[in-house]
Amino acid sequence: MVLGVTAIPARGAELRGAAGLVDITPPLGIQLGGYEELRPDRPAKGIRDPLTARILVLNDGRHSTAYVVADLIGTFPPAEMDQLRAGVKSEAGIEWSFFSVIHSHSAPAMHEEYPGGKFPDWEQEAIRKIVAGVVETARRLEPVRLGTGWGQADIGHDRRFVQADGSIRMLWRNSTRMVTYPADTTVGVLRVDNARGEPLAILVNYACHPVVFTADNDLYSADYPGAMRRYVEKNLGGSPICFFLQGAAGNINPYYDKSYLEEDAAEMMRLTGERLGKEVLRVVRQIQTSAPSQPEIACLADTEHFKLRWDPQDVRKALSAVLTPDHVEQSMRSLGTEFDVPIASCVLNHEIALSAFPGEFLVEFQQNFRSRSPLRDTFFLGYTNGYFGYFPTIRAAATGGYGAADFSVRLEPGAGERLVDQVLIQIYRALGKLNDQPEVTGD
Amino acid sequence: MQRRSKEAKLRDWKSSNFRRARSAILLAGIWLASVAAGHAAGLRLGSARVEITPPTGFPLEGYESRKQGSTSVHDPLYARVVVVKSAETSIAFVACDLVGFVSDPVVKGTREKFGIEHVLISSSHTHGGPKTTIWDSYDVVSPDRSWPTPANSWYRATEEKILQAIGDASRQLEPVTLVPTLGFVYLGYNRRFVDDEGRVKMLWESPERRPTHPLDPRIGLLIFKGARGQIRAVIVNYACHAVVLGPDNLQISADYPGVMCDYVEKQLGGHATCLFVQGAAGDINPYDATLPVDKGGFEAVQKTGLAIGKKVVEAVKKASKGKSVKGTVQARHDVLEFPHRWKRDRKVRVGMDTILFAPNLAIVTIPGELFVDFQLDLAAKSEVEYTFLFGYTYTGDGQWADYLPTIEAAAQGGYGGGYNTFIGLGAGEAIVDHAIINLYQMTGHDFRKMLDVLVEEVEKSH
Repeated sequence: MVLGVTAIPARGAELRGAAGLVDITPPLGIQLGGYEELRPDRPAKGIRDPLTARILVLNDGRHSTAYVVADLIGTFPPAEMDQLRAGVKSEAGIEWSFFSVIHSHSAPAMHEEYPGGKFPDWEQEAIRKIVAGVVETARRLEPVRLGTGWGQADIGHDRRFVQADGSIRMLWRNSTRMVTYPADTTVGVLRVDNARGEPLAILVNYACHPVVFTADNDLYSADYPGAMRRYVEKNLGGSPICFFLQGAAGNINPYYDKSYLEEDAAEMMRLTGERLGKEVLRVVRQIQTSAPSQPEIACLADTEHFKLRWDPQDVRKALSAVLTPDHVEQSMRSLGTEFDVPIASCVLNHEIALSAFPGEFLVEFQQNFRSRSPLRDTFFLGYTNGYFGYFPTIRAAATGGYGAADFSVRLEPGAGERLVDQVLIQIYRALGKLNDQPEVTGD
Repeated sequence: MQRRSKEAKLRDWKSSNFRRARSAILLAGIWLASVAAGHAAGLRLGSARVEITPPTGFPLEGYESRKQGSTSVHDPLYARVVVVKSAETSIAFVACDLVGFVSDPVVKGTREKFGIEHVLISSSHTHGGPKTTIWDSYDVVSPDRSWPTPANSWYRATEEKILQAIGDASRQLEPVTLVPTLGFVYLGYNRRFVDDEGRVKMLWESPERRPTHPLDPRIGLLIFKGARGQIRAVIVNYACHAVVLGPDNLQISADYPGVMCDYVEKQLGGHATCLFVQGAAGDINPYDATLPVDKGGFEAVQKTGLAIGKKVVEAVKKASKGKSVKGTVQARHDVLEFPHRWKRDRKVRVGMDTILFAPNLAIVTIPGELFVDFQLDLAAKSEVEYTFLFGYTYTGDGQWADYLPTIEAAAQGGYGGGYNTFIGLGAGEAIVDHAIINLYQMTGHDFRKMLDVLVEEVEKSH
């Protein structure tokens, strides 16, 4: 366990922060990811909206942290994640960095291994831009005020539809808005203002796959989160940067899933984003920010060890039927049989928890996590700091469906439950409520 | 997310093989069902009871402040045994009127001498019984075989008596049916009072019976009926510390579970054996707790025991036509390893059993004092109709785990939460999850099998 806690905040300490944005849109011609099974060859032919990385840096005088949210489908491979973290640390002097993606399916395809270990130029270029962006943002720190608020938006449904006999039918699209369960309509908002009370950053935490566009779209896009951000930024006068923090969206699809361009996917994307954006705006406007009375950034990071859920022989057999022997070996290597999964949490000012979960968790985990967290303001950052596939609940793993009992899941059953437990322990530790020695008592 | 093309190709492959695969699954299902039908009616049971009251004059266990030895015997202590055999497996349920009892000789002897695969040594956790444990500085609990003398140890004699009782029970097996059911009684309260600041104040007694939570009023019942419908045995599972008697008491007593079992055995016609198995009572005290003897301690023991006893008898009578278990019996013994909460270089190994009497009864055992949330959580997450948690139950290959608080309770503090606990944080949560995974597997879910339902849906949707 790595721990960075300011035991006694420096007298007169204050929280300082800044937000920044860099354009990381790759060149055209790169394959788009997410719908390989529908359209294997899908090179990007244009830009619907530029892909960005948005950066928030916070500093309490002792510790600093950077939150980076990129308009990509997945996080970078482990070696590049290390490169990114090391760059942020050495060039910006920031020890704790969180790297999240919105999970757009209109962004470049990403892989965990590349032939010859050579990473694509665009990924390396994006990492350089992000590190430079963090350095630039960290130069502009100013005293900040924080505030949080919660709302409700209904833009998605649970795509694992449980039928009368208990089996699962995948309900990818739900344009009639049939009621499904569980879905989490909770919108979490963290507002960061400058000392004059002007918003610098709006962080929005919500769980729903950004898959309004489908495989016929070959333009780069941030899907509905992009539309949401544009709406929020425009209505707040254009000065703040709005962030979308994807939650536990493992089983949540937008009602207008995979819309075709000829049925006006762009309009459905805009409607979906603005429906969420309107609620964000309502919440943002009623948040009263304040300078924290006890500024403190307390972060913890751990890894938890897991085994592969599947029998490697079964996987090999399945792959051998469809791939060349070379590809089978490469896939088996990238799959792995043992996993060290990173989890991390930052508690800001004893009040706000941001916790990083590296994969696609079913939404039940987000609900369970928030209901058990000691802090009202608890943000579930999915798709953050790495990617280890889908995390189904034990029950979902037993009942089946996509993201529950197929190859999209890698880790043994119970992995998600254990990670939520361990992240809760991190939050309690960051709050100083779990010590390494038994309580002294008079009982 | 569908990020890798190899997944797509795999899916194509699955799609072409889907229908064939589905017929294979169906065949496997039929085969399993036929096995189950063949073994359905095969439960046999034997029972025994042996007195294990210790000599007086030696220390009692449960209250650190109590240093004197016992002065007399108020009511005798027993070990009650039920041996259940089916075509698939065999289980010895042992219920002792003791604070805790860990015995590898009993587990090993039962397996070797009588061929019984699973041994559940449960303790009622009475604080009116003899000292059974020695704690080392690493919180490893070993049996106290030192008194009256190491050569003439009560503990060793008790182990031999229990082994003999298991042998006796296993030699007189009769066909039985097993009906699981529930009763309800409010016997106790949650002794961890959490204030508005989230701090814990220990509420060691609650004579005014103020409302607390969480609590579990369910009495889990296993009713074994003989061929003519007579009750042969009842296993009563309820979560409430057996501490009606306090540290002033120096008379040996089984506390309220003893009164309950005597009452139930008598009411059910004298041929029934009643076993009390403590649940997740780590934070639950009886309303009348630690009552001094001169203020009516033993009267309160009687009152508390009868309160649950009457509910048990009522529930047993009501369930006489209840739905019995029909399928196979499966039992699984696991040893889980957790970090030590305070000593980073140590591990804590815990033996747990998961038992399924298909289709509607499951039992999960733990050799320690779980907080009641876990028993509620287990029942909520399990898809088996009756899922009971047997706390204070040793099944071999591990150590006594003592208190298992929830993560939240560990952070709030208090007895068994912030102190008097040594197993790593999150152990209780992990145990419940492990049990749920076991139960899914026992009910036919193969987590390693990739289910292909999805493929069809992908095909349909595009």
